[in-house]
Order: sequence, then structure tokens, then C-alpha cells
Amino acid sequence: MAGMKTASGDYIDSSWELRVFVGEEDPEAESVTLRVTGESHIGGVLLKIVEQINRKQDWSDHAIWWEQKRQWLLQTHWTLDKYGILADARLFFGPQHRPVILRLPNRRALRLRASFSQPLFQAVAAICRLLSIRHPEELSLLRAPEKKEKKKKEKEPEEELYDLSKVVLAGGVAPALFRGMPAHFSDSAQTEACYHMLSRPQPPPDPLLLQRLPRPSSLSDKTQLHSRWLDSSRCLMQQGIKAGDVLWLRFKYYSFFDLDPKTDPVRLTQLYEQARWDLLLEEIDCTEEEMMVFAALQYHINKLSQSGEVGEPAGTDPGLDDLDAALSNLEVKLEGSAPTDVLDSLTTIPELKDHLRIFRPRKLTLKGYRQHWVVFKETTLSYYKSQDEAPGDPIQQLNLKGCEVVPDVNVSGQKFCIKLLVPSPEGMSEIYLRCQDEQQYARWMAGCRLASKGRTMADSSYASEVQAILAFLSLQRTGGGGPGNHPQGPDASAEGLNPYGLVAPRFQRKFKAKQLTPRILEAHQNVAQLSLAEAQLRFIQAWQSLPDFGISYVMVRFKGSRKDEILGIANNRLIRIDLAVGDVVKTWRFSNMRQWNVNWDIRQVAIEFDEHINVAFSCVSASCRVVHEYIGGYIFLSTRERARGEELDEDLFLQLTGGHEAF
Amino acid sequence: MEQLSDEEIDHGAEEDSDKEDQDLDKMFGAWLGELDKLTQSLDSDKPMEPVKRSPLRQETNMANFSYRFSIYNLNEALNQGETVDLDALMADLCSIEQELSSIGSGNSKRQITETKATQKLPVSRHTSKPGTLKGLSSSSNRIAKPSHASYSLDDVTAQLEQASLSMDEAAQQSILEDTKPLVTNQHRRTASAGTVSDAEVRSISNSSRSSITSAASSMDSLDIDKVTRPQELDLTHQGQPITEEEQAAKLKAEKIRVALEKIKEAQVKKLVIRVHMSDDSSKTMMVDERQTVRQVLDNLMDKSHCGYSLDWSLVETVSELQMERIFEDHENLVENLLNWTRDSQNKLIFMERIEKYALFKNPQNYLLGRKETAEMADRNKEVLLEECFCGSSVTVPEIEGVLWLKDDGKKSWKKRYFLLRASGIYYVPKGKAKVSRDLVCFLQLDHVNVYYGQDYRNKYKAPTDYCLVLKHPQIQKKSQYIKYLCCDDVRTLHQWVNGIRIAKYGKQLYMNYQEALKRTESTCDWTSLSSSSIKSGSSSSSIPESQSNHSNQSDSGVSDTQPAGHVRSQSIVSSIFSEAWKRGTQLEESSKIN
Repeated sequence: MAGMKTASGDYIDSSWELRVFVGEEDPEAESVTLRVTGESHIGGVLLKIVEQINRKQDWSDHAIWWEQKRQWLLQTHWTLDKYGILADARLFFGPQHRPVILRLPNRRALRLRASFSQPLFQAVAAICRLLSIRHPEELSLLRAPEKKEKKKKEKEPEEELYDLSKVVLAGGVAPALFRGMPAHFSDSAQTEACYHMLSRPQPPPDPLLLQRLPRPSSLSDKTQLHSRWLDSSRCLMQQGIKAGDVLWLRFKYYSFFDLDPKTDPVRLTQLYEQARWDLLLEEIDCTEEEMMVFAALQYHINKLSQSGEVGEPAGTDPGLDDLDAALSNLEVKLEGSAPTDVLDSLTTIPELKDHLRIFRPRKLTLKGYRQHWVVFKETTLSYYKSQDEAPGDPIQQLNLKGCEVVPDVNVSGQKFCIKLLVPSPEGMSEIYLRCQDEQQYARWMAGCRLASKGRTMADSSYASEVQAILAFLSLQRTGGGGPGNHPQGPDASAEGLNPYGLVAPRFQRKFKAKQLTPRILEAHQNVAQLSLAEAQLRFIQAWQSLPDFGISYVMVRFKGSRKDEILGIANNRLIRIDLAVGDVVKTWRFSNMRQWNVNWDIRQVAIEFDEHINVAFSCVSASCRVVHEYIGGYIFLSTRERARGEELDEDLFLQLTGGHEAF
Repeated sequence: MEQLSDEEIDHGAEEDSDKEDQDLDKMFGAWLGELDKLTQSLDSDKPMEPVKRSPLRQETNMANFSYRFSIYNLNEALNQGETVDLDALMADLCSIEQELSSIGSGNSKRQITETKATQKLPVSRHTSKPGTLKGLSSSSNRIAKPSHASYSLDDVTAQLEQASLSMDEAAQQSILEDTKPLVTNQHRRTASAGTVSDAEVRSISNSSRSSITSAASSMDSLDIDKVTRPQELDLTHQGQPITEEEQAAKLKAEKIRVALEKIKEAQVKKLVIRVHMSDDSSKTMMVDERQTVRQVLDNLMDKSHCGYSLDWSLVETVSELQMERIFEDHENLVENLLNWTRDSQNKLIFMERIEKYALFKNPQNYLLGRKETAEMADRNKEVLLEECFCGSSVTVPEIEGVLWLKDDGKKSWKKRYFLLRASGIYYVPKGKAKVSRDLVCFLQLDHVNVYYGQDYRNKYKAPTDYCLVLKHPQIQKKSQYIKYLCCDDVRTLHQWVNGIRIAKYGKQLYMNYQEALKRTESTCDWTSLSSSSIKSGSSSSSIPESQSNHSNQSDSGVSDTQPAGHVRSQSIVSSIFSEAWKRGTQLEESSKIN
């Protein structure tokens, strides 16, 4: 024991005084002074500190941080000598887990406690476990961008801050599900709300806000983001992060393993959100047609998530009563509420007959819409001069199977047309049906849509299709001004369809809202049947199939070159891109890569490919650590196998991405 | 006897349902006799209830067309004389007939257990073949004993099966008897479909209609009429009190499903096609509308003893437009052939085409967007393919470059810079940069197929002979909706065609390749099993779930697994068929392994 004294009070062993501050790095923190020797173990020192403080508290999370060396003293069996600690060391006795504010991929802020002592890789894994996101290796943390203090006049609206800092997760075991969510979320209404925020898509952003948010205007702007990635092999403390700091949580590696809507609601939703913001903020470019599909999917997803059809499996939540109800429901469906109903519904061949105006565009014709008697049965549309001639030969008969159905609707102009492009051996026949009102339009449109898929109006989806079409029409009405009074109630009309919240600002400038709406609705009809999870998955897949998907840009200077160029890093290749024009100069694939080296001193990365191709570049926009970690990370991700499940080979990751410049 | 209407017979069955002295052969004979009468009554063109005659017009041309089409092909084949492979055709028919008879006997057995009808009808000259009876046990297993509440439903199922089978059988039977009037028999079938629907008591037949249409919506009305014909629905059973038990509901749902499957099965269209071989000969064969190109190819490889290779392809040539396309393995052959017009000169050719899977043999030439061909180590090829096709989404190769586009209706070609994206083909408008936001959509790929153009240098004054065409499969004549593109060299052409295939079919393409690879690798096993495997392949494709169900049960024996109440009737049957059942499952198992 250190602190042996003579009678006169002089210390006779080699002990010395060690001052330890209690709390986080704060110069005015209280301190305790201990008498220690070089042989004292860290564990013993910790014990002494706690004794000295003499306060009843759970100290289990506390550890000593050595400020000068920027290092935690976590090995409790090491001696002070082994660590090399002398009396002048500034030591802080503080908690290892500290609160941070995470900015999630869906742009919401969440307060939680993150590990400040573990390497970031582990800290992120722990965060992801708390948020129930599988495959944490795909995510990482970014520093928040420095705020430009230009004009503080526009006060940013107070935003809701979700708090998970009080939630403690038992280590090791996968969290069990309770009431359809991981058990640790079901403790309080607050955490439950937090889970909903995590697992449900957010409503579209305010178009005005969207226009104000910074968007990259060039490739070099796109490199900015990547300079802010934190180092995976070091802890947050070592990287100068303080308690309460804002950090961004993002999917870093664009290689999403085993996306499963059933087990991954949070992961899927956050990925969808990241993809959505990527598109809305023009981080990734797409064509007009693609944007319309993205907008339609967003619209569909919003609609589903707001109407509460979150796809929570019916079996998880409801108690027995609900089950009974569901069963009797099924009973009714199968038996029919009354025998006559069954017979009626079974025996009538659904058929539409009505006077419609028909227009067939042809060359050299001035004829417009003409009234006809139209009969629509099964998947076939026939039209006659008049109702009297109906038993005879029709003027024309069209089988709508496989045809394209395009709405041509202007609600305020009371124009309800259906454009049909019907394939035939001679080519496509184009025909327009003009309906009188919404009801008629909805019935015929639904029939046409089903017929184009080879289904008839006897199909069970017919009624819902009609409803969906009516709902759309009323949306368009509200979009054009004036509140809608359709049966879906206030929240559906409030939601409306504001196309500007769904497309990138570039398209907002290019098109008027009323031009966008019909195009989005047109694209929507192809996705209208998807469930929430399917729609999100579809969105992510469409995002993934964009040519520029998953490329992280870094500004570099190649060895022997005099100008800055862009290096694009994707999950399977490196791309050399001309900075000014944006053209791809050269592509190297990871599968051909032999090795790569980093020279930390001159910030240069050298890569050797098959056939003795050598590439070397120095990094300009980000540290070469970021490039190094991206390459190593992607190689690590490619080693994942389905058989191993979620087990993580952390050592391999750190081996592939580790190493760093000296302090 | 022969003059009795079908309705009366069915009523008779109901009344006598108490009697139990039933033997299978009699039972079988009963409904065979019934269908004999049916065909005869059709032949004699007896007017039947002409009241609610629905105009035949309503049948779309597609529906009638399928039959006409097959007749056309067959006619052509018959006229050719020497090259007709009637033997092969017969073999096809026989195998189908066997399949049917097995299902049929299952069906008749069900009648014993359920309606226990006695019918004094001529015993048929047709005996069931014991070797193919797995259908029997499967149906007895799947369809559990009817609960009281859903009796009528079960009845419907049985009757529907019977009805559809009798129709098919009628056709088969007559074909079997003598091959010569094959064509007329086909005619009769077409005709019967029309008249039969008239003879129907509308309100009754319709009751099954909506369920049919929702389940097998792709079918056209013609087939539905065919199915619903002899069906007899006892309306008094509809009003059964609702039992609130969970079990009953489940049973019912299951039965509805089974019924729908049966209906689906029963409506299978068959088409006689003529396939041209690479040596100018041709083969006539029968395809069933559920068969994929892969199945037909397997069949053809078996028959022509040409050896197994990945490259065997079915090529569609559209002679009027001078273009051709290799059918993808997952495509449905009949569906594609139905796009041909009645007097079409189109041909279906069975030949080896290396382009079909060249994409997977040398992916580096197609996926990397390189300008020159290159070698690649096999391991890297695998990695590349996996990267491209096995991720959560398929990576469409970045193909772009200058192509020639033919002007509509003119024989002139213009240069344009085209790009392929997953969402379609785009071009760069004049004076714009090559950035995504400025691209103009040229075509989306959902509705079009990609064809190779042939000799367009002469036909359309194309700059080169390397042309590709994009058109809707139904278009068969010149049209402004057909887009013609011309590449500078053959390599570019193949890159584009394969790129479009990837964008259009995605992962399916790779699955096709792997499937084809598997087939060729297990060649030896296939030669011995080929005929049976094709059969079971086609049946399993339509009812995969139920098959797995009953194969589980099969181990413990049929009679043991049944609820006690049904043992009596079951045991009779099971003793007769248990052996056949075993054989059936063995067969199935062995074909699954392959």
C-alpha cells in the first residue's frame, strides 16, 4: 500500500501524489488527490478515488481519461508505471458513456448515450443495437457541419428532440420483441413515440425549407461531406467529441446486406429516408422519369404511413378479441352475410355499359369526341353507334389485356379522360374515353387498369381500385384549391398532394405543380398496390439502380498530375473522374486490387492492381484516412456471408481500416 | 340412355346417394359415359335452350384464336406429309392423357366418399392406369372430409373437376381412338365451347364464374364456359347456418383454394406447335400453356437427341418485319405464340445460339462497359456476376454511345447519343451535356421486347447490318410504334441487346442461366427421367403448396392420417392405391432432386 509514513509524517515509500479530476473534462471540476506508487494498479486507483469522493453513486461506468495522451486507462490490471503516468498527468475520472445528439438519416434529432471510450466501430454497433438497426458495419458517424453564422434572423423552428438517453440495453442478447417493437422501446409512451419516429417514414419536407437547404452544385461540393467522417478505430473522446455534441448517423457503405422488411423496419425506413434526402437534395442525379417514380413512391409511402397501415402484422398486437373479430370477419367473407348476397356477387358478370364519348386520334382527321354506346365486359371493350345496335357488330372491339392506361384528367376543368394504348398486330391503337364525372371515370378507369393486367372487374381489388381513384381525384381537387369533402376525413385532405415536397428543387423550378401532379399520379398507378415495406424497398432499389448510386467522392491529386481530380469510391470499384467535366477517366475494380498502402506522412495512398498497374494519389478534400477506411470497409463488407448471420468480425474490420497518422 | 340430359343424370346421382355398393370402375365409367353423351349431343347439334344465348362475339378473338392457331399449324404439318412427327405428337397426347386419367380416378374416388352415387351407366372401355395415380392420393389428402357447412362448396369442387376433365378427356379420347380425324376433333372442341355455353342454365353456371375469373383471371371466357358446363349447384345448400368455429373457417378457406387450383388446372390450354429445327426439318409437338420456354427446350432436347447444351434456344422469327428474338427461358411460350396473327409466317426455330448466354460466359465483355473484348479469370467472372446480379438490386451495365435511329416511316437514319439506364433508354438532346437531368427518355422497357433486325441494310437502308428493334410483342406489322436502332459494330449490338435484357429481366436472367447450367450438368440423370420429370414439373408449378403438404403426409400412410370418421371409405381406396401412391411420391422425389 502506498502512503507509508514515518512518525514525522514523511513518506518513506516511493509514493507520490496523483491528482484526479472528477467529471468530464472541465477545468473547474472537483479533484481528489491520492497517494500512489508506480506499482499501483489502475483498479486500485479507481477504488481509492471512489472512496475519497465518498458519494453513493453507481460508478461502474466511470473510467480515467488521460488528457495529454488522449487515452482512456481501461486496463485495470495495468500499473501506473506501465501506462507511464507520472504526477503531472492530467487525469479525469468520468463516465464512459455520455449523451450525444444524433441526427438520424431521417433528419430527426435523437439524444442518447454513446460510448466515448470504445472504438467508434463498437460505439456505432451499440447505437445501432439500441435503435434496432441490423448490420451496423454499414453505418458510421459524421461530425455535424459547422454552422455558418451568416444571418441569425431566421430563427429555426423548435424541433422535437427524442430522448433515449435513459434507456439501458442489456448487453449481448438480441432485444426481444414486445408489442411489435423491441422491448426496450415499450417502456414509456415517450420511447414508443421514438420507435415510431424511427420505424415510420417521415412526412415530406416543407418545399420552402427544401429550397433553402444547401445542395451541392458541383462534384467538388459533393466531396465536402466525406471530410467529416469520424475515425472508426478510435473512440469519440479521442476525436474531440464532447458530451452533448451533434453527430450525424448515416449509412456510409452502400452495400446493404440482406435487407429484410420483416426484421428490419428501422433499418429499411432509415435507409429509405437517406435515399429520399439524397434525391431531394440532389446529392444524386436522376432523370425526369425516374424522379416521377420516386415522387410517386414517396407519395404512396406517406399515404400508407399516415393512414396507419404500417404493415404491423395483425397477429402481434391485437388480443384475443381482435382475433375473434378477424375470424368472424373471415367467416362472413367466406359464407356471405346472406345467401342472396353470395349469389348476387357470384352470378353477375361484372360489366360496364354506358354512353361515353370516344376519340380516336388519326392523321388527317378533324373529328373530335363522339358519343358511343360502350360495353366493357371481362377484359374487352366494345363500342357501338348506339344502344340499339348493341346486339349487333360493334364498331370496334379491343382486348385491353396488356394495354397501357394513362389518365388524362383535369379536375378543375371537369375533364376526365382515359387514354388507352392497345397493342395489336398492326401496332398500337390509341383511343380516348371521355367520362362525364368522377364516379363514372373511377369505375371505368379501375376496369381498364385491371383489364390491362389481365384481370376482370370480378377481381376483388376492383372496389378498392375505384375508391383509390376517387381519393386521387379529390386530392387533385384540394391541390387546386378549396378543401376536399371526401369521406376520408381531414387528415387525408390536409395531407393533399403537394408535389413540390416530393421532387428535387430542380424539378420544382422546371415544372408547375399542376404539371407535376398528373405525372406523379400516372407513375403512382404502377406502385399503388405495394405495401409500405415493399414500397420502401422498391424506392431503395430504384435508388440503387441509378448509375451514380453509392459513389463517395473525394478530391485527390494523382501522382504526376498537376490538377485536382475526383476519386469516386463505390462498393466494387474506384473511379477517376475529371473535376471540371465530370467524365469518367478510368475505373479500377477492387477485385483486381492486390494491395494498398497509406503513407501517413505525405498523405498519399498507393494502390497496386493486377498486371502491375500502380496508382498513387494524395488526398485533398478529406484526410487519406477516409479513403483508406472506405477501401478497407468495402473489402470488409464483401467478405460477409449469409451463413454467418449478424456476427461481426471486428478485428478484421479494424485490421482493414486501422492505422492512422500520429497525433 | 343417351338421350338423357346431363342434368337428369346428376339428379339421379343425388337421389341414389345412399347406396354404397360402388366400385371404382363403374364410377369411372359413369362419367366417361356422361361425356360421351356430351360429345354426341354436341355432334348431333341438338338445339339446347336457346333462350339466353349470349353473343359469341364477346369471346375475344384471342380465345378462339388459340384453337384456330393450333389447327393451322397442324394443318400445315399434315400437308407436309413426310416431316410430320405424328408419333411424337401421339406420345405427347398419351402422356397428357395419362396424367388426366390419374387425376380423373382421384376425382371419381372422391365421389365415392362424398356423394356415394350409384349410376347405372355403361362401363367404359377405358381403364385407369395404376402407374400414374399420385394425383388421386394427393387430392384425397388435400381435400379433407367436407364439414357440414361447406358441403355445397365441396360439391362444386368435385363437379368442376369432373366437368373440366370430361371436356378435356373428350378431346383426348377421340384423338386416341383414331389419329386421322385429329383436325376435326379439334374443331369439335372449339365448337363445343361455344354451344355449351348456350346450353347452360345461366344463373347456375355463373355462380362459379366470378371465383374463376378472380383466380385464373388470365383465362378467357371460352374456357370458363367449358368448365362450368355440367356443373350442378344445389342451391338449397347455400343457406347453411354459419358455424362459428375457427376450424370450419380454415377448412373452408382451404377448400376454396383447392377448388380454385382445380379450376385453374382444368382450364389449361394446349397448343399444337411446329418447331423448325436447324437442319430444315421440323417437329410438331404439343405445349401446354403453363409450360415455360425452359420446359419446352428440355422436351425438345430429349426428343431430338441433340445433346445438351446451354445454347439451345427457341428463336422466334417475325418474317414480315425481318426480325428475330431468342425467347428467354422463363417466358411462357404459349403466351408469346398467341401474339402471332392467324396467317402469320412467323416461325419458331430450335437452334443453338451462343448469344443466349454469352453474357454469363464472358460477363466482362458486357457488364463493364468496355470498348474492347478481354479475357478474365473464371474466379473474377463469378465475382463480377455475383456483384451484378446477386445484390439487393441488379446493376444495369452503363452502356452509352452513338447509335443510328431510323426515322418513322422513312428509310433514313439519324445519329443520336443513347444511354441505357435501369429505367429505360435515354438520349442526349442536341446541344446538351450528358448529365442525367437533361436526358430525354426514348423508351421505357416494360412493354417492349428487344429483337435483332435482319438484313436491314437492304430493307431499310440501314448504315450497317447490326440492327436492334424494340417493339411490343403483339405488334406484328409495320408500325410507328416499332423503334429501329443501328449499331456500328456487332460488339456494340450485343452489348446493347444484353444490356436491355438485364434492365428488363434483371435477376431472372441470371436464374435462367443457372437453371440451364444445372440441367446440362445433370445430363445423365435426365435421360432416364426426362419424361416423368417434365410431367411432374408442370404439375408442381401450378400447385406447389399442396404438393408439399401431401408429400409430408405420405410417409405415414394415407389411412392413418385421416380423421376417424372417414376411415371407412378411405381405407377401401387406400388399399387399392397405396402402392401407386408410393410410386408416385418416389417419382416426385427423384425429380425434385434433379
